[in-house]
Amino acid sequence: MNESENMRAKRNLDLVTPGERLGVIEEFQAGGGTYVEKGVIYSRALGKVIVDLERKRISVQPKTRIPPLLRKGVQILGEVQQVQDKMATIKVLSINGEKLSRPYTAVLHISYAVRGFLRSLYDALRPGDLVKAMVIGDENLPCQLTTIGRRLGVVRAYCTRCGSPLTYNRGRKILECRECGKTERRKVSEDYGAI
Amino acid sequence: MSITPQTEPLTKIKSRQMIEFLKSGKRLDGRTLTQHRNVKIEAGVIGKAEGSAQVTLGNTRVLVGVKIETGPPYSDTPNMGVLTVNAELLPLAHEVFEPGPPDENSIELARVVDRSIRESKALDLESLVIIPAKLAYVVFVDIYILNHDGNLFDASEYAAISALLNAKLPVVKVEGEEVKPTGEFKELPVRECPISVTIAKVDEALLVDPTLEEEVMASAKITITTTSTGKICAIQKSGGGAFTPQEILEAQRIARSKAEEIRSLIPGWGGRCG
Amino acid sequence: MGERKLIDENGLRVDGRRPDELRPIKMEVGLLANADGSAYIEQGKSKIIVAVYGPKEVHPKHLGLTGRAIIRCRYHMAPFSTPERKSPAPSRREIELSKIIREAFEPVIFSEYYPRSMIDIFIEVLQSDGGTRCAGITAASLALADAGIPLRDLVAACAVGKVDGQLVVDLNDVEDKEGEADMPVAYIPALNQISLLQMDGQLTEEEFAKALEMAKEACMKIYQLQKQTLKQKYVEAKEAVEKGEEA
Repeated sequence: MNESENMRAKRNLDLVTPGERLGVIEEFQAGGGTYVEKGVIYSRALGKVIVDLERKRISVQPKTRIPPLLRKGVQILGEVQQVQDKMATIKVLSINGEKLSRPYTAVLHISYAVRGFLRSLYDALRPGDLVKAMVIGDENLPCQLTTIGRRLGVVRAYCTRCGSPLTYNRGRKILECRECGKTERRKVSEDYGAI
Repeated sequence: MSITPQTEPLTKIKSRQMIEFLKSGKRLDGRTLTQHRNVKIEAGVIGKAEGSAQVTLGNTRVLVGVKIETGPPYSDTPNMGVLTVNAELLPLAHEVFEPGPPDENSIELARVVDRSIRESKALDLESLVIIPAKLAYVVFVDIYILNHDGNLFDASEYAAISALLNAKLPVVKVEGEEVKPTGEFKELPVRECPISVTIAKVDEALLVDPTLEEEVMASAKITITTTSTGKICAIQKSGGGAFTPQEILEAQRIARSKAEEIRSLIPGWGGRCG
Repeated sequence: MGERKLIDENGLRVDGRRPDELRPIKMEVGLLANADGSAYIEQGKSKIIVAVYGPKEVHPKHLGLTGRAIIRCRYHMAPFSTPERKSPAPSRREIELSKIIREAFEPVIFSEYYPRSMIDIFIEVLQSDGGTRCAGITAASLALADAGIPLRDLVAACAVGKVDGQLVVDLNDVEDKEGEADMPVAYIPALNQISLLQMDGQLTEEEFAKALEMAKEACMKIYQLQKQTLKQKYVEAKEAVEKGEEA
């Protein structure tokens, strides 16, 4: 096949399927949604070709869904399942804001819950809480989370006595139940109540 | 449901060494790329079976027993006898084999051997019917893997054809509803000697008769069976990799010439082909 | 065998096709609401539906692999897909085909992107008239692309066989059962690799080489249809949106 002919065929915004030849590495950098095999850039998605002539980069923007991926560094929203003194399991509901059709399981170790010393994870979160966390390890099974950071931690919690949603008293740095008056302690995110 | 298997990879040192050797056209056990391991075939090792053979291919050891009974033919082939091939990956053959019902690997093995025998028309099934649609000979070929060191397809195939060539057919007579053995035996009608040759692709090299270590390193394998007249009668590509069309044609050429060598070692065939 | 003529005096086959002619093929993507990706194919009288789920969490957990996603594949025939009812329990044939179909997809799926996950491919044969493993592979490629699973290429599959001494592509049930050879092939055009190859029957060396070439050509025709089908879905979706805006 003629090289230049092939290139002319793939213009910016062209629709391509996986396996379609996009160009060669001598001319372009391989961007997202592509792969390189023996010097040739191919699409690995069904999507739109994006040719960035300034940066000499060719990529494919998927038209399909992009399957979510628990990778080091992504932020997740999850529901606390089980809490033990040292370890909690968390059902991951969304990754970087994208809702999962099926949840993944991840774990939070006590040493990654808060910056300082914590006697028990019960003092940071409880089953049923909604937490924001970040993936710090994806090599082992299940993957590990952290809630250290101002924006990370519990974003919604329920009273352990009556089950009502708790409100955050920023002044006292404590969660209060408006129904029964109980106060509770959590590792609270800056975004508490916003989700 | 078929699931991507968990295979214990070779140590880094070993896999690197294997690749280094292959670059200079050699293998870890000193063979050339197209050389078989030492092949030993012994027929008639189980007296109670109508036919049997044991094959060793290096450290791979397979025993095949043939039992022959009578029973109804299949409804879609009323004028033919019945051939049934089964394979057992015995727990004593390797620590990864677990007892239990046949898994996809043993089913694939049995079906690949079955295809070699059936498609080469090695067994003359038409002569094995006693009363059409009612009664026929049923030939059971049971493959017993005793030690697994790779290339079970070929070791099993060589043992199966050797056991069939070794088998004696118990002559029966039918009296009314009863089927009685006469106590006499005749030769089982084996008309062909199909030989399979398995070739593994490791890195870019094509290796004949892979050991277990080579199979672990291989991206894919191809098993090609040819008849004594040089026709291809069965092919199976297996493993998670792929071959280019050129590699497949090359494998086919290798398989054809290697099959000739192996065929001369099959006991009982030399006397029959003439 | 040989009782019925499978090629007539004009060189045409039992269903009127030329030796290198495919059966009529109809493909559709994204028809099952619950699946992450789905596809349907009609090739002659064979009808197959495929669903893809995942990547998702592995259950049971010990089956998971740390460096890659595992692929699970089930090829299954409906009890009503054949003239005589087929038991719904997986037969030895279905178990073998599930394995080799999974192996046909291992080289194209970027499984390393999704460690500790699994990708499920479910192939259900609703009506069988020959060539179902190949049509199943063709449809499963569409379902995988529809699910957004990163792929090196689509896999296209087609069988070549020998009937009445002549090589023909895309065998139907009669040709498969009464013919002299059947060779299903799955081809990955971008990599020029064959990821599924089986053969039964008898072929000479020359016939085999020619059959392989014919299979490649037939797969390329199917590949074009696959690409068209996938693109069509998104062109249609765009038109529907534009129409909605006008109204």
